[in-house]
Amino acid sequence: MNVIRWPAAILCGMALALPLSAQDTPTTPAPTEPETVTTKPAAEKPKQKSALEEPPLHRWGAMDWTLGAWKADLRGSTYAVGTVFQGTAFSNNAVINAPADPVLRGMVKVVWYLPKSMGQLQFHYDAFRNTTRYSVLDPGNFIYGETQVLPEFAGVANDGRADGLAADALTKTRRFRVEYGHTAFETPRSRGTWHAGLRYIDHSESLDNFYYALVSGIPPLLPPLPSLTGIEPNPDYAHVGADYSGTGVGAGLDVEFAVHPRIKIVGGLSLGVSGGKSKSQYQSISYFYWSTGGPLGEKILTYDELLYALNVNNPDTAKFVVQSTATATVVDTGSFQVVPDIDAYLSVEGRVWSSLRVWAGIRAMAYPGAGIRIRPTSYQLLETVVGGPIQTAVNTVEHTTYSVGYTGFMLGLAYRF
Amino acid sequence: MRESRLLAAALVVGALLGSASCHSSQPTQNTTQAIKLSFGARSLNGIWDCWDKDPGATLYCEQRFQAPNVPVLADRVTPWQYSIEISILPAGTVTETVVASSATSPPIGAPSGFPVFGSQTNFDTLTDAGRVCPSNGTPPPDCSQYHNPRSVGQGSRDVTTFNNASLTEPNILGAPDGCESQGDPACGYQVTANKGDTIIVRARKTLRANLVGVVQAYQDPELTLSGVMTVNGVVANSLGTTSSDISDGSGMVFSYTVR
Repeated sequence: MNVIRWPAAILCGMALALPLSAQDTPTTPAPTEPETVTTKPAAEKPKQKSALEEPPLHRWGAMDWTLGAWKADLRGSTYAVGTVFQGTAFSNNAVINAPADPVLRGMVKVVWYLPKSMGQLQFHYDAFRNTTRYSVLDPGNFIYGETQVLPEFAGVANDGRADGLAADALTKTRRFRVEYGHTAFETPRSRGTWHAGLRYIDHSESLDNFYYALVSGIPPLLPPLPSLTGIEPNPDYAHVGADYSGTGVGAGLDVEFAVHPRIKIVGGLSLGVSGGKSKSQYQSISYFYWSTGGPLGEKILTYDELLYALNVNNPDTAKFVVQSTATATVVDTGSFQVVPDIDAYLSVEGRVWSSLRVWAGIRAMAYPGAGIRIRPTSYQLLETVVGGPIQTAVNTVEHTTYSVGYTGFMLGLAYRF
Repeated sequence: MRESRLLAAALVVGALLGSASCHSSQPTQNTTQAIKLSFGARSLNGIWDCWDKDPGATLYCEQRFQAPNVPVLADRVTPWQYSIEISILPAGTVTETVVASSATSPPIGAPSGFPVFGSQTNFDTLTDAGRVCPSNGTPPPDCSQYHNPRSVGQGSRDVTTFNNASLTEPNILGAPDGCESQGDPACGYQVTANKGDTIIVRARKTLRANLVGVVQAYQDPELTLSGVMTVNGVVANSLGTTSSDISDGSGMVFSYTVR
């Protein structure tokens, strides 16, 4: 995002320097020649400036800085981290979605009103970051489905069930707009401004899932069983990620309507489309058990065979039990993606002083199709050495497109230089 | 100048509004509950007759048979030794902490030097009317020397003493566990846990070869070890397996989440 830094740096310098240069330097009046006395009409007193009027433009124009904050609810990009099974009745099976907590975030808008009614340059920056840490732990109650890992070897009993799950989710979106605008229409009580220009969008989402066997049903690793290590079930793990970065164009219209000399209703709609590269990744790690020798021979153990092997009636069998991993990883780095973006807001603005305004309102933003996640649909477990990990060759994947949206109430200040 | 001050004031107001997302909350209160853990064992065991024999009221016992080498068997309470480990999984966490174990060196939550299989279930206390006189022996014994006849199980104090079984007093990690009812709050091992915590109990039976004379050796005694947790005197509804398999040396794992 180096392109963003240069305009921002220039903007900051102008914001500091231009107001100082706006002051007119006093000039020495030219000497007047004596003339015959005549009566001149009294000069009209300058009209007293109203505190409610916007300050006049300087020679370089004017600058409007708007800072705002809002708690944006994340919409659309749901993270289904598991399922819960509590019976066969229709309402007793449910998908568990990790909720996203709204986070207070800021936005910046700078408008440079060009002199001589040449229009305006607008600079917008929005950033969103939602993190979620979600867990449900129900030791000993294996009713939670491990939806994100591949089904082979999922769950301590290879039945895809866990007695607890935890998920870490991170969703980030950044957008920067550089646009040119001008008055579209103007009446005594309303004004419309159109704007159009470039936009840069970054979006990423990441989900890490852990599925536990907190109180597994395997026989306790106590005497008279021989001492064993590494047998307690490790949590199954899955990672899903998606990233998008693109540039594009957009346009919009802002309308303000004065309901009171100090109060305005302001609303706007902006539409755009960007194109760029999309990257998605998926990883699944589940655990299983080998028998590396002894009476059961060299084989991957079923759950019943594991219970049998850890029965102390078979001490020579137990010492050949080892835990290993089955891993599947796939990455898609080359997809081109077109992502539209929609931004709408409605606010009430109050003028505190001639240059200072406060505003509050609601805002909604949407990025249809910004997130693309992948998951293997067909794969093959590769042969490995006895006791070793199993790798998975992925043959086909499915792409699932998610839309991302943010809505919330916003509050801010605006100051005009 | 006035505008500068107003702007500064507005920024301060904005900062205060921004900090409105912060909030504080009172910490949740934990409720500690008294939880007792107790174990028992049962098996298909032999039936014996015992007497106090003169002189000196010496203990004497004979096993009952319904046919040569075919003992009389019944499902009876059996004293059995086992290893045990108790863990706490605090609420909202995935890592358990061992709070008591006979399998560690030194043991945790037990007296110093407590053996791995030092925990033991209760004796068989059921007594029926016994035969008046023993039947074994050549020539036949003098019945007048045999007093106080009673029929007891092979897991009774009398028979296990007579068979010189290596038993101790019923206990769980050194805490008495010899009550008639497993759910008796006067017996058992006390565990302290907060609301939301999960107590995980793991135990395994000692091998039959380590405890000779306690169960009959004519056929599989189908010995099972079972555990029970009580909360404030009420039997808790545990998850998992509270009773072991009948196979020699097998164990169980069960848990209870404090509500």
